[in-house]
Amino acid sequence: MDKVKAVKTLRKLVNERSLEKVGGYIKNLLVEFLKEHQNYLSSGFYHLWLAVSAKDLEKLLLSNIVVKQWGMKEKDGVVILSWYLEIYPKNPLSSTKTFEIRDVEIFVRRHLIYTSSLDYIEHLKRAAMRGKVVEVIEALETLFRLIVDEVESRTSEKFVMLRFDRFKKTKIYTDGMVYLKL
Amino acid sequence: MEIRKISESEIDNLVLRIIEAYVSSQIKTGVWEINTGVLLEIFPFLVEYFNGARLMGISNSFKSQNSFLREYINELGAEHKVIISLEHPYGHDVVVRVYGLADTLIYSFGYHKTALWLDGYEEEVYKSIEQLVEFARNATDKTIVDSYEKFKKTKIYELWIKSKQ
Repeated sequence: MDKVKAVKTLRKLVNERSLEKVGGYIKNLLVEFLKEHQNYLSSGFYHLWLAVSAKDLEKLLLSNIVVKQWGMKEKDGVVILSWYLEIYPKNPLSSTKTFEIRDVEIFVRRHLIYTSSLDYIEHLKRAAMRGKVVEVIEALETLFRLIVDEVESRTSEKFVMLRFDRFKKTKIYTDGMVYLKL
Repeated sequence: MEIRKISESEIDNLVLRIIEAYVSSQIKTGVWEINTGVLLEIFPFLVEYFNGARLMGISNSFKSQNSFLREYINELGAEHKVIISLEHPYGHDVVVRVYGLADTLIYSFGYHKTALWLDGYEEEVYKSIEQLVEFARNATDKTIVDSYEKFKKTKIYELWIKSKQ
């Protein structure tokens, strides 16, 4: 993504006060990113965990919601964020591997509470309309970096496994496991 | 390499099943009377799965609902008594209900604790599970038993027994 060009275009749309166009442009940037990485993807939906540091949370413009409203806590230097990504193909009958993207949706969700979710594109759109144009583009850059990092290094899995290894040392795990095996 | 397509994470399912199995292995169903001080030890975060829609007029955020309930409970005082019931309606699922506050709180215990575990509250989750188990083991149930004995002397109970004969 060309940051300078993206900021310029988004700022122009914000100045036109066109909500629909601002949302459309943000979505378009996401679609472009997904197209570039189509080898990672197939059409359909994904539940994606991303390990996000406090600094990245700020960059994603999610600190206020995730920490202050949802009460999630940093552990081992990261918050594990649950994302829901749905990719709609242009032709529903096309192969799940070779397809053209018609639309995408992306939500941030509270763990196991599917009614508490945040439409991320809508969230960025509102931020842009409040004048945070550069911040919105940086948020998208951060999201793309985190997705690539997750796919290539499985970072969130490593952090969750760290927690799980600690869980294994508790009485709850040992007794619970024995009871499950009975 | 590609994004792994999963319907749910294997880890959260496993954590959920182990917590439920542990509680099921330690406690059977029951009803107990506790004071709100103990309630706050078992549920340090009260509202995660509380139906927020009933708290109309209060901001829908986790923190404000949580502090609202805490404030309410604090006003009742640490010695205020509530009734909690524990049941296993489906398999290992553990459902805890709390009666005696403004509204009945209903928690799917394992689900509630697993979500908190994923939210980064590991130690708090382990501690509160142990609190529930320890409390249920040591509870004397005196008030519940007394109330039940009183209930057995009522006409309602007598008629019910007769209807069964």
